[in-house]
Amino acid sequence: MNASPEERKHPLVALLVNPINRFSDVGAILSALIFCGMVLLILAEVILRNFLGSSTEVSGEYSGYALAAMIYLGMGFSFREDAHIRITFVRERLGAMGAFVLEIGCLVFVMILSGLSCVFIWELVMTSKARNLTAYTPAETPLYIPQAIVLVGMALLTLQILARLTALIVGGFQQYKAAHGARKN
Amino acid sequence: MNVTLVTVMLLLFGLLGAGVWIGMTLLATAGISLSILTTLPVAKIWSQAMWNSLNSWSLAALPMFIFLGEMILRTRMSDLLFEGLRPFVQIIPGRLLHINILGSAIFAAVSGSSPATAATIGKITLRQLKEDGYDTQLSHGSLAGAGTLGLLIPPSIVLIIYGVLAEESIGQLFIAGVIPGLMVAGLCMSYVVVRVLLNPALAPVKREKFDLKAKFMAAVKLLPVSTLILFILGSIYSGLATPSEAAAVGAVGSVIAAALLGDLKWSSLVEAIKGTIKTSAMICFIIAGASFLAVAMGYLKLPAQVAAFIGSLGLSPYLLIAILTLFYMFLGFFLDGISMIVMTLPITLPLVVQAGFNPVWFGIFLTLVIEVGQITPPVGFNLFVIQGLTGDRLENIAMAAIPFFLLIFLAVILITIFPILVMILPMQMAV
Repeated sequence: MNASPEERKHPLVALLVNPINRFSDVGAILSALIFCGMVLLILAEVILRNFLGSSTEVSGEYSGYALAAMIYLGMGFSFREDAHIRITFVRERLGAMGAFVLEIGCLVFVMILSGLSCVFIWELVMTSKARNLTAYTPAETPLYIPQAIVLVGMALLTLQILARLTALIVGGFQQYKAAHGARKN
Repeated sequence: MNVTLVTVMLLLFGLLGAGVWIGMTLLATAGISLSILTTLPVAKIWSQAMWNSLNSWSLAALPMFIFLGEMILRTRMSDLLFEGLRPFVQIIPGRLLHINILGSAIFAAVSGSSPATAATIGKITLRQLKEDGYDTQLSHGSLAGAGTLGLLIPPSIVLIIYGVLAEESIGQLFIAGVIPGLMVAGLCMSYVVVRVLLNPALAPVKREKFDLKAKFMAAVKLLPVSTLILFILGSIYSGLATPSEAAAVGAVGSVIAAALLGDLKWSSLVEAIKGTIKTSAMICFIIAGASFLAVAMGYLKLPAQVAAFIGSLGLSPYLLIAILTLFYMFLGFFLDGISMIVMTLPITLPLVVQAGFNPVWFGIFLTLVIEVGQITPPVGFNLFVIQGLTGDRLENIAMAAIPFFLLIFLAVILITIFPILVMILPMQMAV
């Protein structure tokens, strides 16, 4: 997703794509910090339990939240970096125009899907908050807090899909064709 | 044919074929089929599945094991593995080719993923093998085949996911994978030996000489990785740590090892974490989507219907396993291993357990069958990795992998006839 100089000047790219890329970067940094925190928390638990006969009490519960948080917060970043897998078998056998149209269709479809996920998770967060749902653990963590992080992550993903769609359309068919021809996978 | 099953299949393969990302395809298939075939509150089931599937203590092991592999890939530890093994393979016909296999087996013991194994070992071996004049087919094939050991030899990402879904002890599953893993490594090595004995031109004639001191120095170079293996597997096997805890210890251990080797750079640490986030997000999104699909299939009563249908056929246990093997191999042409496990397990696990197979055994069986899928086109991750490393055509690499495909298939037959190969170690383990 490297934009050419003309594209970077395009108002849509400047106003939409670039800020979204920054958001995803922030998401990735938070994801990295949460990952490090999770490792340290579990390590503390191992040391406390085996050598000091004590326990953090929360390492199991919080590493579950940490996993969900790090994954969803990293979702926008990983989508931008093309880490998610798909089958390109059919697309490779279409002409460039067909592939271009199919790609736009795929992006619109997953943007709707990701957007719907946001709406549904929003409802989940609201329900958890309204009913004061807490985890069945000694810490009694209110569930809406970690669930809200999932919501933020899915919002980042939705925005990143929008950014990719925008860049694709702004770049136009000719640019897609050039990139598609060069990259055989 | 059953309307529900046809709807699910059409959505699944239609969206996959159109090039929709796999995790998204699974999510959409579940959401759409629930919406059109039931009157259930889809939004609620959807969001719950996305939350519950990843809010998991056991799955937390996954990114940490990925990080561990990333650290080894990006530091001198991977080169040390090659240099350390080099003197010891000189006496085996096929010499450095065996580093592909042994290196994969050793790397697999600290990493949980098979593309990561193929990438790490390939990065250090393939160029050297080419320079020394080893046969390309054999070097690519053995790497593709042995790279799959990453899934089988503990720690293993696939076994973590299987353990979470089947509610089996991940520690037991890990230990169960050891003997079959070594067996696959042994089969691959034997095949290389036979090929080279039949046609010595496949490997160069010159044999490197190493004196005792050089061999000792080489053994020292294997220390960092072997210490990590000892820590991880030892702590799980002795019951001192759960797999997630062992993963955290391993992750910190890899950073300490890199520091001790004087090879800890901020840039490689950042790259390792970036790689961890990308791979984990990719895998976990598939898990989230597939969990939703599994829940949806439950509501659509597909597992029960399939089970009733299979039950009415009155298959013998071995025939059932044979059919499942073919089924998974077929799926393996199009899907990655994790999607396959998460989607199908609610249907296949009850069938297999009812037929009298042990769930731990089935986990290992499934892993082996999925390994086969890693080296079959059009979707075979190990093939993609080797293609990325060498620039060779996918068809050529797939051809080179065929003998190894057959060897893994042989391993599937062996563990089915002799389940004790899988079960002997877990039976010894303190629970």
